[in-house]
Amino acid sequence: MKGDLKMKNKIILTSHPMRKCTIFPEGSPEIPAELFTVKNEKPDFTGFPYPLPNAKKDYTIRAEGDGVIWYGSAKGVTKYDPNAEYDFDKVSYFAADRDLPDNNVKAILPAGRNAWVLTRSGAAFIEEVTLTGKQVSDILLKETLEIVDRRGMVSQRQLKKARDLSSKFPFAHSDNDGGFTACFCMGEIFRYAVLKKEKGIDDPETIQAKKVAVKALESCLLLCHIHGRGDGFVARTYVTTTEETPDDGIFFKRNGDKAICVDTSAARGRNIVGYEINCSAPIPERLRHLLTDYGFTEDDIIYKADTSSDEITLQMLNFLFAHWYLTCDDKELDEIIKQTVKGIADHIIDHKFILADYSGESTTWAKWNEGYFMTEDGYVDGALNSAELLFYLKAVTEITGEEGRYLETYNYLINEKRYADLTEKHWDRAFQINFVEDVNLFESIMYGDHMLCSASFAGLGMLEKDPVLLEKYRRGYKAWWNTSIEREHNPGYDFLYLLGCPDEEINCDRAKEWFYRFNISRLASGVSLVGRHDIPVREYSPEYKQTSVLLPPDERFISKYDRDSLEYKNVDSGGMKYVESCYPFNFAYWLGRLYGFIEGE
Amino acid sequence: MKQNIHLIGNAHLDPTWLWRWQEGCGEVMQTFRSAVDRLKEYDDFIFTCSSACYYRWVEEIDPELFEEIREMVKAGRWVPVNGWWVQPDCNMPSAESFARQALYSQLYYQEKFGQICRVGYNVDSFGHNGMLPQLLTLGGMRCYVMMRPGEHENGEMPKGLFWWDSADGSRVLTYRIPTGYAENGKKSIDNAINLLSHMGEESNHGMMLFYGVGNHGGGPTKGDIEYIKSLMADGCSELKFSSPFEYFKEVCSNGLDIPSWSDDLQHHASGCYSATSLIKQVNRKAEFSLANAEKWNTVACASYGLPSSRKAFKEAWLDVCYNQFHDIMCGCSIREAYDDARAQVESAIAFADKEENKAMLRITGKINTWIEGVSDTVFCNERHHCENHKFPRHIAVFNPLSYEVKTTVRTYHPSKKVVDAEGNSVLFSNVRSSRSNDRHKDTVFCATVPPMGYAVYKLWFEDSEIEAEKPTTDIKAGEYFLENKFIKAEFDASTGAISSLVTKNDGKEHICPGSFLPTVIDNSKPDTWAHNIFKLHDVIGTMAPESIKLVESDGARAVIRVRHTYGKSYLSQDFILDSESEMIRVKARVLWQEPLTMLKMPVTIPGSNPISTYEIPGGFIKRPANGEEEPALTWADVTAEESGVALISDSKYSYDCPDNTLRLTMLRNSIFADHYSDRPEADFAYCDEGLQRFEYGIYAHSGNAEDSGVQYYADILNSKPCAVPVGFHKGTEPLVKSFISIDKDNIKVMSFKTCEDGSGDYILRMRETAGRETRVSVVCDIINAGFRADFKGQEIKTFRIDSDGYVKETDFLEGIVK
Repeated sequence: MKGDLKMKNKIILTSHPMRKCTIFPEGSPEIPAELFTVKNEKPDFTGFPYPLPNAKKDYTIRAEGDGVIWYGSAKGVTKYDPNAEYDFDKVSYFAADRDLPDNNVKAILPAGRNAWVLTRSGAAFIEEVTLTGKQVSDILLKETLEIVDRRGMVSQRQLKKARDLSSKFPFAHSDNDGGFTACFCMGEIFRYAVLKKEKGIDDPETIQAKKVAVKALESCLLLCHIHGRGDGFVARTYVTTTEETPDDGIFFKRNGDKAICVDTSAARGRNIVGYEINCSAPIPERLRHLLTDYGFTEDDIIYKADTSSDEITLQMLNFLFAHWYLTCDDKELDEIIKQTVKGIADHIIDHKFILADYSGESTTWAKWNEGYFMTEDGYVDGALNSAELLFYLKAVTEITGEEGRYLETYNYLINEKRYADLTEKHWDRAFQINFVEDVNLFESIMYGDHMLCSASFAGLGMLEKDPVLLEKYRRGYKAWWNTSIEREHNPGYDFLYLLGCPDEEINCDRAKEWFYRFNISRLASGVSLVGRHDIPVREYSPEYKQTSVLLPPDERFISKYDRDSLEYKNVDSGGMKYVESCYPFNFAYWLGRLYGFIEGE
Repeated sequence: MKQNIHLIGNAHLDPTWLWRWQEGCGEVMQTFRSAVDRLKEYDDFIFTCSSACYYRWVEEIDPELFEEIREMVKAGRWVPVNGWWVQPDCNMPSAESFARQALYSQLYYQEKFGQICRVGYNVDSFGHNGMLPQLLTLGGMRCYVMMRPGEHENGEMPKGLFWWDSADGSRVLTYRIPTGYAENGKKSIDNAINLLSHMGEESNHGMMLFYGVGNHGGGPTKGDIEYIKSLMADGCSELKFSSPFEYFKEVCSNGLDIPSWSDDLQHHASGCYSATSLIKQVNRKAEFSLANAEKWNTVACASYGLPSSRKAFKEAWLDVCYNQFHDIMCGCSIREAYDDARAQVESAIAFADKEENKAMLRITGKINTWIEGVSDTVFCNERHHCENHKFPRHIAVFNPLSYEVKTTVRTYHPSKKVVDAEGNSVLFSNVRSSRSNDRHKDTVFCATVPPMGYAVYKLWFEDSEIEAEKPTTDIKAGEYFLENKFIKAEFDASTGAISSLVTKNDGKEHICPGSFLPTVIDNSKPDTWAHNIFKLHDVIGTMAPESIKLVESDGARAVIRVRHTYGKSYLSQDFILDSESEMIRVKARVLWQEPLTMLKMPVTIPGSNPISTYEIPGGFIKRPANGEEEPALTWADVTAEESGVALISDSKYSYDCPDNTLRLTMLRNSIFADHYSDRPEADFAYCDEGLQRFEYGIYAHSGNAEDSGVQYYADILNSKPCAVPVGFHKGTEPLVKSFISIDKDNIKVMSFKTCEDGSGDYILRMRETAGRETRVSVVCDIINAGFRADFKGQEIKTFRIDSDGYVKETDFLEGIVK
């Protein structure tokens, strides 16, 4: 399905003031002298109509700027903008480490609608930068390409020192590199499609967008061939011999026609260090340049093997969108997509619905067969995994135009194995397991599954034409949506949901807030969420707490789509020393633009 | 394949029904003794029993027996279920009542047994509202056992086991008992085993069999236990002594795909929504009085040094909780039982009134009402608070609701002028008082009071030495019409009924002919419960108009009084239209003396495809407009083509909606406890015989019911602002103050109280009323709190606020039980 949806959900975006905070260490010459001498008054909050991030008694400083009032305390800075157009902009909170050197505010010096803030260990300049969504997207893409990109792979880049971009490691990989790169790739495909339509194919910006999208797509396709197995397997990620091999899974080092299992804890655990497998299948020439451009050959490749269904699902959606919007005028690449998705589907069918690892057995988390669904782990997974597999089969027929065994298998799974019925059962099953284990449903949610669910059900919603099956898929999707996805108010999920269930409605106000309050950098640096006075905490266990209110993205930790947006903590599990990719914003923004969910820029 | 049958030994105990509570208490004592004896005699026997109230009776009366029970609970042999005080009616108590049922009971179970109940259990209750999954979950229960309606009453509901979802997304695993809750005797047990075996094989999961003598207690007999053991010995390996929790755990462990249900569970005894108006009226009054008084007690405790009355409130709430027991609340107990119920519930109301007054006077004592010169007065009529000729008297109007209220307030003296805190004249009327002496006049004035706050008004006595002043009113009235800036209502002189109801902003006519004709229905066939009768439609007449008269048309409001008669009965209604109200408030007085009849007040709206909507505990529900008798809390509505009319009530719970006509069931005059209409010759007492006074409201609106102002007006009708005279004194507080600010109208405060653990933390419970996702900002300076929260449609949230104003989201158990 390409465009042409009747939309009752429209978000009108215009340019909007975004926050930008620059931190200056003590003694920096940029810090104005008046900041050290300014006399701030004490605030009086009598009758103040909004909740405040700190307790009223904690504030010691008040400074009035141009239409905004600044309040400081030993717990950060609060900006009050009484005339802000949106409620979510009336009271904003700025705190260490992202916005301030530390939270101990000594003085505030307003400068128009901006402000200098003096803290115990330095100063910060808090600015309003008025940007369109597209400008935000451009800024984020630039940062991603400069800092995060790794030969077209885009997940995250680690830093040796927090907040110091110059301290980036020369290499970086993530366990789910393939999946995250696929998400990045989709965002850039959508960008290309929008620019092509609006500016024309020859516009320099369109050409540049295509270049970025193609490189990301080639990187994703490379993962499907880099192992040289020639059997439709997909590598999870890869490193080269110039990079450190992480000790977090099963890796194979290519060497001529054989790939040898690398010595890692996981490999030792399975007793397969040194295990050899075939890697004689050639990498398509079109993709090889991603190695040769950087001076590598096949023998420099160390690929990660224990691929999960996550990668397959996200790549499959990526290939579908690429086929629709990117490779329509690039026959060579389109053919590689076709051969690749056929290879993946054939592999899964031939191996009785698993992704087969080196031994012919399934990888740990890529199992779509009935037997797995009967196991303890597979019982709950069964609903999502059945939707994933049905989506793959539909996607392959759509991309290749071939029905044959793919349609046959699809029908077999639905009619003989009741996979379509199973797609509705996720929450029923999760509830049962949680009841037996006496845990709260929300404590047990795998937030990474939200994107997999969205990809699979949106894909099925777009591709399936049979009304009975569509109804089942949509019921399954709605159950996920109502239970745990909607409350994230992530437009990336919202828009996929509308593709899968076009008659549903999303909360456009909340989606707008998400775009308007996104960080204009993906530098992870921690926030001061824990201990805020205006946020109720929901404690499921001492280790797992949530907020009762979804904070705007610029007041919560930076992450990909795979974290609980409501989690009550200051720092994402990735820590403070890394830079994330731009895909969370760009995927949502350009998908919205492409399908008309977003009007304006 | 044969499935396990979990044998749930129990004794269904109705503590009040065809006997008074004292007998019920004795029945509990005997049953518990007997159950302990059986547990001692049979090592594998397990006994399941609900209702914290019964345990407390035993604890207080027979501590030794209670200790034995504690030991049995510890050993897993005695299984308490249903974390509520009793097995209440599950349609008519408010959401706050369900919260209190859970709060006090689960804390009791936790304290006495070291565990809360995980299974909700209301096996006899006559229907179950659609919000129960949320109400149970928030009370710590994730599973539910119920029985009514049976399959013969509702065949669409899943049989046996199913997921039950409420509109906010909560879900409980629910078991509908397919047999009975009190199987006993060989034949009965054999039949149940046969049926359950068959159902188990068909559904591929285990079933539960509830056995033991019940209703008047009793429990499993030796004979029954011996018989079951003999079956087990004879090879019935699928039989196992068990408990509901073990059953649910087993079925969940087996991995089942079971059906789900997202509607309420109705109908069983539809007559119960209206039978015995007395208990309904006192229940409603008690719920609002206690919640409101508790709010003021908490405010006065937080800011004005008043000691918390938390423990006394608990006891008062428990009296209300007890009388929500299904056979009491449903109006189907014996007449004598209602003497007890009234005494208990009215004592809770009286307690609430005292607490409210104490708190309000504590607060008003701090308001600065000083007027220079007042202490220099010489003459007694200048010092007289009510009849002061020189100074105005101050009246503080308190609004317990979490939104600003514009309404009229009555005080008991006539006035010459009324001004607000800023000195602006406000509309008032001097109206006929309820007394015959003195000047026969009260003042009714228009007040605007901030959310959970007060506003002081100054009233000059009728003989004051000032110029009379009255703002212009937009109230218009004539012999047969009432009108303000929002609506115009016209009356038909020949019927006494409202014949036209127009909203002025859009000029829309909201009603059709035939509306508001008091309609009499034959009630001779249904028993008190109306077993097996779901539509009560046998119209035998309408009340005849006797008089219609415009009795007030001045300033703050206008009133038309209509009197109808039927047989030996009359209905007198004051149709009151306030200047600032979109609702017509009707003060009804009815003397009913017609045995086996019902009285309904209908309204018919124009338009096609009508939708009827009803307030239920913690939310609302849409039901088909099919004419079945339906339960509702404070309002019900019929809407078609984007416009509708709601009927709001301060004490009624029963409506029906055949097509475009919504009918409020005003009374239902059955014989007390008339079970299946077995009526020997006798001088029966009737449960709605005599004089009743109640109020209802008529509210026309556009758009959906839940998104209109219906909840606002329902709350005002049930929670009228309270007027307190204030003396002349200096103070620290302003003349107008709000103690809470909530920035969304569809988020309503249900309760504001101190935490039950005695920590001094505060509990603020709120709910979403319009069915839409909402982010709310709450500011409550008196407890240093200011926070935001996201609500799903119809979600209830409870927040616990510590002394520094830090907030935790918790549930009905206030974070005391982890």
